[in-house]
Amino acid sequence: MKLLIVEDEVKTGDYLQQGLGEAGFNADLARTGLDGLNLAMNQPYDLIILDVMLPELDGWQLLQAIRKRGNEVPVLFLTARDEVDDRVRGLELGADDYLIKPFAFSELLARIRSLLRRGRSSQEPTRLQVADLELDLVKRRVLKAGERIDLTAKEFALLELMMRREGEVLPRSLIASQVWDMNFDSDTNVIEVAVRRLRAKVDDPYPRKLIHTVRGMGYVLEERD
Amino acid sequence: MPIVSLTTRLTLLFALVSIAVFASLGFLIKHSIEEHFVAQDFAELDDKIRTTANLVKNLKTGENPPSIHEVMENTVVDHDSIIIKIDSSSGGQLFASGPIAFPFNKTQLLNKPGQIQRTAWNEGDIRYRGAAMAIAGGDGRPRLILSAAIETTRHRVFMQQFAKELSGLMVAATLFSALLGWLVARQGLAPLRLMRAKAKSVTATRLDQRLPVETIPAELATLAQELNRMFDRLEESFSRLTHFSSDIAHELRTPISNLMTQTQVSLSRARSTQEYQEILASNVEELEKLSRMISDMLFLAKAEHGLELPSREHFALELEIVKLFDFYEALADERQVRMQMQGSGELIGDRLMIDRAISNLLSNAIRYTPEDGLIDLHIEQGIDALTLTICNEGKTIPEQDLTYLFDRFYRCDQARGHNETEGTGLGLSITRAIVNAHGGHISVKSANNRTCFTLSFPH
Repeated sequence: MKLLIVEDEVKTGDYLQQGLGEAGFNADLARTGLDGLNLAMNQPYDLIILDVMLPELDGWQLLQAIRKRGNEVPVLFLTARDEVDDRVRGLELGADDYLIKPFAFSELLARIRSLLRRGRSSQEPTRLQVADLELDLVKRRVLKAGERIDLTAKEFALLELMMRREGEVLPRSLIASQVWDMNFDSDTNVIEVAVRRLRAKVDDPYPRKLIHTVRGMGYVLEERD
Repeated sequence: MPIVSLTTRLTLLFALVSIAVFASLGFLIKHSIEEHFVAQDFAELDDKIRTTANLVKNLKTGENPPSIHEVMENTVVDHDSIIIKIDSSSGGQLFASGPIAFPFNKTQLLNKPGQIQRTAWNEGDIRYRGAAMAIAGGDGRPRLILSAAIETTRHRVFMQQFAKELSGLMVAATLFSALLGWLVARQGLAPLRLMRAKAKSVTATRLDQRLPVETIPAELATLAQELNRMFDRLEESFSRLTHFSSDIAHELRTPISNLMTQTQVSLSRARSTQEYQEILASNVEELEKLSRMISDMLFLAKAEHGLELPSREHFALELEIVKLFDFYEALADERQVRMQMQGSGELIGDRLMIDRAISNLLSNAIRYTPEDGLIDLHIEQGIDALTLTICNEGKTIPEQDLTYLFDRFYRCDQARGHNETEGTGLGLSITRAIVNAHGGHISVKSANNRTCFTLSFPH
């Protein structure tokens, strides 16, 4: 997956490039709007991460230029200004998503993956499986090592999210928004407790642990050795 | 049109009023003087005519009567300006002291003998006033017509002179009253200058200055009061702003100092990868807290300017609370706190913001409710407002704390930063800002180990 980062803040740019590289993406970095436009028009990218405040050509203009030339690459823009107008303007100009600075890197990763997944119209699975954990979406049933586990509706939704995003670190804010529709900074304790309870049912009684805490980032469901 | 100062305006008005008054006064004076001249002239003429008539009547006695001409020459004609003429009814002129044609109607005079007729006329440039009377000639002699005329040029000259002097006086008087007007206006507007001087002394550091309402005239007192109230509001906002800035600095200092110390200590010697990971993870936690605090403060800063609701929709409040209960269920369960709700009601507003406001209250309630405690919510759809009451069991909050509960960074336990689960200290301020943005009102009561927040939203 090839990404383009357009960011003039030196440290932010470098860390984004490094972080995304380490997350398995091939990320190019442009430090000005014009460089960004050149790269975007001459190379095939799967996604562009665009800062709004840029020298030479700002994020809005860059986005407009790209769209005018028929380039429909998904664009996620980063803004330091939390203004409704800014967001609306970005989305109207054809951006696909936005993040307000400062943001959690795990949140950015999750958004990037969502955007990349979008458009790939894969068949909705009826069954999810990670190692010996099975989740039947039709029968709403969970099996671990062949044993049936009883989950509440929200626990089921949480497990489904983590299994669908197997191997991705999910920030607490994303979990709150996807499972409980809490789209604001809420009490993060709640997520900790909810994950702990899910673990108590899915992991604790079994030798193979699948749900892991990534300190400072969030939670991930994956099989580890 | 340029704005004219009040003093100038008043002075001009004063001058205009003076001009009007003096002009009408001058006109009246001139008119009455003229009247007086007319009356005086005619009185003189009448007198002359009567004297002449007596003379003429007395003439008839005696054997060798002196001619009228003689008598007149000797007795009556002593005054240059009065011209006398005596005509006989048959047409002959018996006497004339000057060459004037009198425009009298003889027939009328003769029909009413003894009655004086008056008139005025011009001959060339000269204006005359005249009087005439018919008398019986006696002893068969024909009836006589006595006429007298007076030239009025001298009056005209006088009046012209007088008018000239009068206008001069009027101009001077007008100027004088304009000057007086200016002085009066200045004097009258002195309180305004006082207010200005006071207002001038109000600065950011001296916002406590107020206009002296007691010493200001009634007309301006209400204005002064309003201005004072404005100063009150400004002072309050300003001091809030000042406190806010210092609170921000204070609140940011602790996590930043933690971060700095921790990072510097860890850099002081080489450590294992695991130790580095621990440190970084701990740093991230501090940073997340900082970041949350900043976005909360930005939200409040925006709310200060009057929060604009991103959307307005109609929604059922009880459904939102069910959703929030769902969210907090696990946490409440773990703390062994029960949550329940009664009632239902519709609300118009931004769903996300209302969720956030109630979420803050619920989160607090769970934090402060003891084990086995109860949190209960009550929605009441009243006639003019929708009320949501959130009550939780827990230590009574002292009265003095209640007042500041909605203030930023206010924590009644004063355990700042001691508890890892502690919020940013902005939750209740945010809740209040959101409720206010919806035109609502939030209040709190605490007694008998029960604390209740009441949110009311007028329809």
